[in-house]
Parts: sequence; C-alpha cells; structure tokens
Amino acid sequence: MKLTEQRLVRYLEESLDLEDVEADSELFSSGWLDSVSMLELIAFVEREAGIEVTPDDVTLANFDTVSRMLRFATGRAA
Amino acid sequence: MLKTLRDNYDRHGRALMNPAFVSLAVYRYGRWALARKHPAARWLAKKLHGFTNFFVANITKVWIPPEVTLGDDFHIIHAEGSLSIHPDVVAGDRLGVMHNVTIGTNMRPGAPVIGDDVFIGVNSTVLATFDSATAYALPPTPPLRPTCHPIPSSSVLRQRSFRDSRPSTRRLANAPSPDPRSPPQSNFTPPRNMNTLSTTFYELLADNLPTHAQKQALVDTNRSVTYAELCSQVDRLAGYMAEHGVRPRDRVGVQLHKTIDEVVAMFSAAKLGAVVVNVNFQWTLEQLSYVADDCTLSMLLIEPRCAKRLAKQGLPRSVRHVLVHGKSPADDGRFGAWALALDAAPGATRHQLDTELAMIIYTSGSTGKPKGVMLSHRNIVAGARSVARYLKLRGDDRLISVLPYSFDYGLNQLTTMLLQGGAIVHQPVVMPFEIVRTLREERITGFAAVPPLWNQVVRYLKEKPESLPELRRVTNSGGKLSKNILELMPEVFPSTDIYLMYGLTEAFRSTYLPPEKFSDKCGSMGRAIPGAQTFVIKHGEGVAGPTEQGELVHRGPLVSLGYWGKPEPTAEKIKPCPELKSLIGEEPVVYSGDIVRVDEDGDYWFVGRTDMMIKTSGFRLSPDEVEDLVAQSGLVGDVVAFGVDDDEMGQVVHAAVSPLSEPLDEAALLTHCRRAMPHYMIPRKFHVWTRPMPRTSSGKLAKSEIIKVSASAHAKEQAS
Repeated sequence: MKLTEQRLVRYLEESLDLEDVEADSELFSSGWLDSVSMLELIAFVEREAGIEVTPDDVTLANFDTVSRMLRFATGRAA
Repeated sequence: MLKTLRDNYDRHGRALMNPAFVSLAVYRYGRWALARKHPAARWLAKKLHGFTNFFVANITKVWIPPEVTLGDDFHIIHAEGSLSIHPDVVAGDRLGVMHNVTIGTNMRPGAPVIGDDVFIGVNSTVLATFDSATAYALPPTPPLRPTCHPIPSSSVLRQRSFRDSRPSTRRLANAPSPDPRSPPQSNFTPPRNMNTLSTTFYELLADNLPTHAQKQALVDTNRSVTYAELCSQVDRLAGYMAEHGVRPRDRVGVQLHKTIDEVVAMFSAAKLGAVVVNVNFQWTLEQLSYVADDCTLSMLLIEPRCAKRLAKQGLPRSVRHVLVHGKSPADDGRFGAWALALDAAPGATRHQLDTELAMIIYTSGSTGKPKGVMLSHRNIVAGARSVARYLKLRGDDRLISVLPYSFDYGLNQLTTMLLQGGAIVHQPVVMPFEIVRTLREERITGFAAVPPLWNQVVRYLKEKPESLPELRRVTNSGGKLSKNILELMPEVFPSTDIYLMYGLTEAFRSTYLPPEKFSDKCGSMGRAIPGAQTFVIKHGEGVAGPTEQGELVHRGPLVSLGYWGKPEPTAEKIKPCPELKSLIGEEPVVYSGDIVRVDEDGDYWFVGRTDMMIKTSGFRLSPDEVEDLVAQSGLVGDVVAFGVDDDEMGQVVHAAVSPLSEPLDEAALLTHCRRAMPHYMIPRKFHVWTRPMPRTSSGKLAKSEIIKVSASAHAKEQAS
C-alpha cells in the first residue's frame, strides 16, 4: 500500500486546494470538501491503497480525517 | 434651572465644553425659554434657542427638543452622532442613552412611556410596539439596573427591564401600558399568526415569535435552536454590524459553513435593511474578492481559514470590517471575533418596502464572470409562498438542507420553513450514507437535491434500501434527471411524493410536475407554479400551442430585479415580449434561454438551451437529447454532448463521458448508440473522463469547462 499520511496530506493540499491539513482536521463535517472533491478523494484512496471503496464505506467514521482514512485503508488492505 | 444645570455639570465630567453638558445646557435653556409667560420674551428666548441649533449641530450633535420631559437622572453618555427624541416621549428617571440613538414612535395612539431602567443601546430605535424578538419567550432574567456604563448584552434584558420597571414617576396619566404583552391593557392586539402577513425577508423569521417562539427552528450536528433563540442571536449580531458601520442598503458578504450561525448572519444583515450576499462556501478567495469588488461589500462574515489569508493579502477595497467565525487573525480592528459580536446591544429593525433589494445571488456563470442576480423581498416571500403551497409544506415539516443557501433552491427550503414555522436540519456532509442516516434519525419529511446528488443517493438506496416512512416528498431542480434515475426513484422512495421542478435564478422557479403525474409524465417539467405565469414563445410568430415548441418565458412576482451593476445583460434577459403584447402589454418577462415542447395536455418538456444547440447535417439537435440516449446505455455516468465544427456536416456530435466502470467498453457504447439514435445524432467521438467531471458550485455539471477541455484535447490530437 502506497498510501501514507504524507501522501494523503500532500494530495489534499495540492489537488484539492486545502491548507494546513493535519491528521485530525475534519474534512467533511467542516464543509471543506464538497461532493466532487469527495469522489476525487475516494478515487485517490482506492488507487493508492489498492482497495475498493463501496458507497456504504464512505462515512464520516472512515473518511472525515486523514488518520481515519489511513486506519480504514490499512484495515481494508490487510 | 440653575440647580439642574449644576447637577448636569457634575454628572458630565465637570467640564464646561463637555458636549453632553453643552447639549443638556442648551436643552435646559430651551425648557426655560418655553416657560416664559410674556409672548415677546418667549419669542426672543426661543429665537436664541433656535440659534444654538448651529452650536448643537456642529459641536455636540445632540438635539433634545424642549417639549420633551427628561427624567431627573438623565445622562448622556456619549455625545457623538445624532440623537432625536420624539416630542411625545416621556423619558423615565434613569434613562441612559448611548450614541446614534433614535427613540421615536408613531405606532399607536397615546404617548409611550419609557420605563425607569430602560437602557437604549447603540444605534437602536425604540418603537412603541417593540420590535424585538425575544420578548415572547424568556427564561427568567434578573432585572437590569444599569446606572451609567453597563450595556445589556441582549434584547432579552432590554425587554425584561421594560416589564420589571417600577412605575415611572413621570408617566402621563393617559399613557398606555408600556408592556405590549398584556393585551387587556393594550389598545392594539396584534394577530397571533403573523406568518401569513410577512412582507420582507426578515419578517419571515421574526413573525414566528408570536406563535412558534419555543419551536425548534434549526438543527446542526451538535446543537439546535428555537425560534426565540435564533431571533435573539440575530438581534445581537445585527447590533454588532450596526456598530461596525453597516447601514441600510449596504451589501454584507456571508461565506460560512452550513450552520445555524450562517442563518444568523443572513438575518442580522436583513434586520438592518442591508443586502445579504451569500457567497458559495466552495468559492475561492479570488472569487470572493471578485464578488466583494463587484457589489462593494462593506462587511464580510467568513471562516477563520479565509480570514487568515485575507489578513495576509489585505481586505478588498470596500470592506471596512471582517467578522470571523472563530478566532480573529489580527488585532487591528479590521477583524472581529464571533464570540464578541454576540455581546453587542441589539440592532434595530429597519422599515423596508417589499420591492427593495434584499439579496444578491451570484450565479455560478458557465460563461464569463459570475453575475449577481438581485432579489427583492417580494421575490423571496412570493417564492416561499408558492413553493410551500404546491409542496404542501406544514409547520410540522422537517427539511434536510444539503444545498447551499447561496443557491436559490437551497435558500427557498429555509424560507418555506420559516413561513410555516417548520424546522431545517443542516446536513453539510454530502456522503450518501450520512445523508440517509440523517433522513432516518432526524425523521426528515422533505429532501431537495440536484441531479448529481440524486444520482449518488438513488444508486446508494438501490443497493441499500431504506424504509423512510416520514419522508413525505423529494424534489429535483437545477437540471434534468436522467431516465435511469427517474425510473429508480419510485422504487427507492415507494411512499414519497416525487416532484420534478424547473427554474432559473433570474425568476427563481417557473414550473413543477405534481407527483400524481410522475408516472404518466415521467421527466416532464409540468406547468407554471402557483402565482407565476409561463409562456412558450415562437420568436416572431407567437405563443406555442400543444405539440409545438419554443423558448420559455416567465412572468410574475418572481421576476428578479436583474443583474447587479449590469444594465445591458439585464435588459437582454428581462424585457417586454413582443409576442405577448396583446396579452400583457409592455410588462417585462424573463427570457429563460431554454427551449421546451408543449404536449397535448399543456405540460412542458425540456428540449435544450437556445445557445447550446448542435447543428449537424441540417438538423438542430439538443445536447440534452444526445446525453439522455448515451446515458441509457448504462455504461456511463455523466455525459456532456457538444458540437464540433466540421467541414462537411457543419458540426458533428462529440460526447464527454465518465465511465461507470473502468475501462470503458467503447465498442459496446457505440453499439448502443447505433441502436438507440438516428445516424446524425451518434457521437463521432467519446472523450473519456477518468477523473470526475468538474461541477459548478451549485453542483451542476460545469458543461462549458468540460467541453473546453475535451475540445482542446481533440484539437491537439488533430494537429499532431
């Protein structure tokens, strides 16, 4: 799995134009990311982690912060 | 007179040139002049008093007419700005006045009495019938006893002090009770249900107080507010805005995350008679700055992240103050923090005409720079009434709000609930799983979305069916749903009314298809909404009848005031229609730019845009038609069809597509098209988008951008 915290943060800052992203920054419940960015982010996580994300995986518990995404992807890839 | 003058001198800093003392001295002299018995002496004394007007107007700026009776301890705290007191007012003993205060009334017969302990805040107006919200629903608050400086932090206190005041020693014998909440003593009883009487955007909110003060109004993820609490916050933020120089008709920019505070921000500006400019939360700082310059925003209410960047690069020229929804990035007075704003003294309601400008909605322009559509109070209130009527909205409804308030469709959800005293549940998270969870847990009764969101939610519900017995209605607007989604909707929403609607920001909403016609007329736009009129125009010929098609035009109270600062585009969009002259004369109508077909029953069907039509081998072709047919293949999600110039055919059809599963089976897609379409309609080329297609901030496909990217890639391929 290529997905690391560093790569994820860089993707969020460079491709999705966010600033000062930290491991615990709330990305969706803060309204920073909209539905288009959500689809792009999911595609990125799928590609980098080599996993498939189904619609009911896409929850705040799994995707709201960088650390939650990593935990989810690691669990799924294992 | 000399004794009171000495008292005033003592109380106002023992300085002869203290403006407060000077104003009071002038006032005392005016009283003395008025009391002269000899007509000639009175005339002379009054002339001299009039002469002091010059002094008052230029130096002290406080004018109290001698007809006014002042209490013993009357104290002017700050003599800056103007002060006018209506001659009929009897001020109590301990009235304190800050600057820029107007106390006036003409609201009902008799002289109003201002109680002993009333303290009037900055930039306030005290009316005989009180305007403040919170009086209706108060938690017990200890009566306030201000002497000089303390300013009550909310109108709650102000109204409490009204009620708890001791009988004034100077109350006129025939004066009515100062407490408007005791109907038996009042000679005017306002109607209980005020909602039906709302004429302005602000009244849509405030008119809930007589009957719905304790009802839940707004729900965030971690808190909720009643109408009384919401109005009380609006009072205070309005006071803060007024303190920071917001005047009637000023534009106030709001770019906030979807929360209760965003709603507070909008109505605070509205209360002062300022124009609300809600800027989409997803817009960049550059776009926000464009809006700020375009309509000269005087104040901004934004999130800390945006404020931090603004502090670095400097404020847009017209912006005098920025209120930050969180911590302020700088300590220099340009920025203020939200928590402090809610300590301000209440702001006053400004009387407004329903024809005045209430709001500017920037349309996420598919071409050129965004344009600000100007909405009057009447536009907004008429839109709320019409939609509440045909969606059968009630006071027990709870709508989920996913769409932004910077989008007329999202804003209307809020205004309809305010009109009916219902509740709005904020859903800033766009994940289908989370939306469905909120629908279930918050017992949502109405859900509004746009096609891209419906695609996601309907597909999700198809896979994970959910019984949603409380959901009375779902609505679509902002674009046409694809046939696949339309067919799935009754399946995933078996007990829910499905409304298909159509409108454009310049006239908010034009048509809707009633849910009982959904299965018979699946995909139709229906007919005009209540209180609006639509016509289909064949240019140069007349009005289209059944089975004909033409451009939809819209007439009625939803026709907006045009584009801010852009008279020419306005005159192109909103103008008299020659084909309708015999029916409505020179009354301007909105030209939608949309071609629709009228069926045998008079229902409309969307055909396409006037300006996006593809012309190929002599046929006029709507991109939407191509898109529908391509989408029916089930192989692709989003489709954007467009014309590319061609030497032989004039134009040929291309389609940008995003595959539902990768890699796209292009051969199968082409086979489907060959089966489903006439030859001229078949796309010559598919531009495969592996990344999601860009969307406008309101969630629609950004067609012109998609076309531009696809076409330039195509041109490069041709050249190489």
